[in-house]
Amino acid sequence: MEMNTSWRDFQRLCKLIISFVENGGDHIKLVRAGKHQVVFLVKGPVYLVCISCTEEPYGSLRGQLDLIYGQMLLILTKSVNRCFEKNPKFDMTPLLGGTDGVFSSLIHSFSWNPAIFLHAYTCLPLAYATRQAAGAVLQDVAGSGVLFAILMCKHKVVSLVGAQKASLHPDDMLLLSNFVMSSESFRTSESFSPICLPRYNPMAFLYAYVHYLDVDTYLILLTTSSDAFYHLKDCRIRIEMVLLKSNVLSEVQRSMLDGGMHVEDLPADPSPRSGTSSPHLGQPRFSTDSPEGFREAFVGIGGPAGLWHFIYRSIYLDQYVSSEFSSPINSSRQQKRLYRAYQKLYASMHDKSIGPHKTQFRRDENYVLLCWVTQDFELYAAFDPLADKAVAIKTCNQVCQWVKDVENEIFLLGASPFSW
Amino acid sequence: MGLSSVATVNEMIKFSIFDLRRGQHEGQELDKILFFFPADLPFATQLSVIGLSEGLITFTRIFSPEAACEVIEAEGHSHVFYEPEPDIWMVMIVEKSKESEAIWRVDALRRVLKEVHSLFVMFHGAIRALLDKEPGGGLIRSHLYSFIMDYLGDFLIGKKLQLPNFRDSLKERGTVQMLTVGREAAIEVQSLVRVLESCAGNTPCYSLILFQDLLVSTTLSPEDTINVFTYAVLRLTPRALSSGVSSWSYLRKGSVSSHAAPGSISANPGAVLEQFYHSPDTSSGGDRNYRVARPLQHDKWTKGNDGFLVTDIWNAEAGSVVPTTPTIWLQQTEERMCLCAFQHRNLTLILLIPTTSILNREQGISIVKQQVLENASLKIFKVEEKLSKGWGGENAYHVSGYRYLLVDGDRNVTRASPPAKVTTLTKESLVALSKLREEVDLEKSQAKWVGPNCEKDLEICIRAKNNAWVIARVTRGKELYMVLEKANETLLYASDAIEKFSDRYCNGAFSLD
Repeated sequence: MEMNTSWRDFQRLCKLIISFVENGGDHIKLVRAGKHQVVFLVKGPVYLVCISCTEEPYGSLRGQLDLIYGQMLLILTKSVNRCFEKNPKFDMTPLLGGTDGVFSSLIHSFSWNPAIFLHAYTCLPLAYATRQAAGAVLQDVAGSGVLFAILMCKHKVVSLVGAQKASLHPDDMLLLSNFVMSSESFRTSESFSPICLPRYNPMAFLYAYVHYLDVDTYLILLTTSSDAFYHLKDCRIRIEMVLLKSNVLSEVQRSMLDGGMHVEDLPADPSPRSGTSSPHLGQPRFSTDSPEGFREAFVGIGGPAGLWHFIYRSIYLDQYVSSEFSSPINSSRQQKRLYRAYQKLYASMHDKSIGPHKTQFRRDENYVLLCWVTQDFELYAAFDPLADKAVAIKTCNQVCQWVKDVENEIFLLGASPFSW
Repeated sequence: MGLSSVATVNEMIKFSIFDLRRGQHEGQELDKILFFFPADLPFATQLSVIGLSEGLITFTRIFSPEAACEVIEAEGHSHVFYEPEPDIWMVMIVEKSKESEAIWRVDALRRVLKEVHSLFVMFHGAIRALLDKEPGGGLIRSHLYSFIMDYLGDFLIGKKLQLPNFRDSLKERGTVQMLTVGREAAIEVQSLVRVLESCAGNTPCYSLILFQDLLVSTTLSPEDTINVFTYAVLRLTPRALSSGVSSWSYLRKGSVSSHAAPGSISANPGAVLEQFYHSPDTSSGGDRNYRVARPLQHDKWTKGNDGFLVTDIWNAEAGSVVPTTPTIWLQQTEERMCLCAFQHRNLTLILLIPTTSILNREQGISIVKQQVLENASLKIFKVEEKLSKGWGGENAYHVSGYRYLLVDGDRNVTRASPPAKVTTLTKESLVALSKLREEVDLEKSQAKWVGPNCEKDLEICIRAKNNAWVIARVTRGKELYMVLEKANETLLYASDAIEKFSDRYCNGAFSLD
């Protein structure tokens, strides 16, 4: 952004504005001017300011600042506040040296990662047995000085285990995986690094043993013990052996390539037919006796009834599944635009003063969006802007049934209950 | 009235007008302030409020030079900004509270600022012009103080200022409400307009005709129509003239009668405000030495035996003891016009004649009035009778099962459910609608940044937590907002209800085919 004012002067102005309002007994949240929004978030001695012309709702921008603050805590813990108490002129920049990539990566994820506004995590689709095998070996190491054992593929969870009812907040997982994936050093060799999980305990460090098992898959073992490196290294060796032997890693790679839910695969007929086996992802879904008229207008462009994309969130599991992108949501620009539309929809449904609403239908020149919020799940679905309302509703019902049918593969089920 | 109630209202609302070009030297900061409410706030506090506003304007100009600061949202307050003239700023600060009625929509509050400025300019000319006329600032401060205090008096409910809040979500300030007129009646009205405007001789003039509080006809520009119509509804129509506010007033009634206990409204709310808040020592209170016409004072218009409305409001300005013809400024032509108002039962007719066309103003107006009585009276009676016969009464625009607001943005015309019907809606439904309207306001505003002719096409249907449907449809410059509290559960049922309404009452403007 071009400005005629130096960044230092700009920072001073921000500080002045925040203090001025606080002296008046209030706390500034937002300034709007034309297409620009300036969002302020004060966390003790730390001021976070965002200037945006992305048309994102205030709640979304504020949530992003919260996550940036959380990322800072992951690196420093909240004990950094004590430094400011001792010395108001304390400069924490040196403590964050070398972490530009971490924050850049997090900010970049504000344009594509539904976990940012859903505050839930997503799993890599895997056969139930495969995930069980991974979970079992992680379970073995949990409790032997390991607080959490997490097997990830990029930003998706393969398996996740906590010792003795310990719970891991999805925001902590997001920040942790972002930290690992954006630091090149973790890829090149096994590492043992102090980290803080802001939602778990913002005041104290844990220690993370990190090892990449292949180019995208990595293992994180979290412990409270600062001298547990060798023990965790042994744990990793054991885990890696089992994963290789049970073909988990090859299944993970296959799923990365062509796994996931594709809207074109949405079953036309939701009711289970007698004699058929349990449905699986990736199996052909269309049958010859399906009603022709139902999908003929839109086959080849998205799914039935002009369904282009959906996100389904399980409230109880704190997990979500997002369909894979396909035509016409091909380019990153289109995907970003859809993401922003979902953000607005989410913010509209979850207004703190009056929400959550139950249903929303939204149509503009870009999409038809349908959203359901219930006690058990949330569904966000995007259709062609000319989609028929009645058919779109019916399609959403089918999506919900489909998710239910394949939940064993797309969600992490039966693990230790997580609560926060 | 105790100090505590004054303090309460002081915290709830602050309103300031300041000129960024003034008071730039140290020690002269107060000179910036042209108006401040409450006037009895200490100068230090006033300067603090102005200082923050000025700071934010400067701050936002750094990265948004093409668009001024619009709003500051803090935990406890909203600050709404409006720049009506270059470097002249109006800022309203309202306290927020979920528990009380203090749930605001920024655009609704900004429309209050726009309205007060537009009306001010209509009567007194631009703020900058008055500053240029008397750079000391005394003249503008006197004018602003009287005008705005009289204007705010209309929002006084008991001792509290009740600005537009979520309960006004099915209204739109700065628009006109029109009477639906059949073809035959429309022809009669057109004929009346011709006769009326011919009463001024060969001088081109303008007219505005109202039936009760509804517009029937106008030959003014859209912007001037809104201003004159607004003033007429505030002070000239039969309802406005009658004291006690016992009869209904389409769309204006809700903000007054739904909250006020009988007899609690002061006969002269502006004076009440003045009494509570005016301090003769304040810089923004104005100099009493200036002769200022106060067109928004209550009970200053009366209907004469001949049917013409008379007032002594403009006497003070003219320094005269005999009634002086009111004058206003038209925005489009920048002409000064004499305002001549006639009323017969439910019909109010306003004739605007350029001041430059009348040599001896009072004599000339007297001749025009005579012409109206001689040439137009019969037509006036006939039109009034016809319109009264066809009038459906207070609930003429009520549609059973619907609570709605229809906005024609191109013509600045609105139609809505009668306020008495809107009050049947629950607080939750109205708050949900207010929030939805905020979203739509943002979408429209963002669309403007894409291109000046870019219009948003949007449909949003929400089933709220309390099961009410709140709906917004925006298309081709028209907007429809609706609340359905007793609708069937399904989205399709709610959509069907909208389609029926659109087909029947909006010429299918919101139907999807």
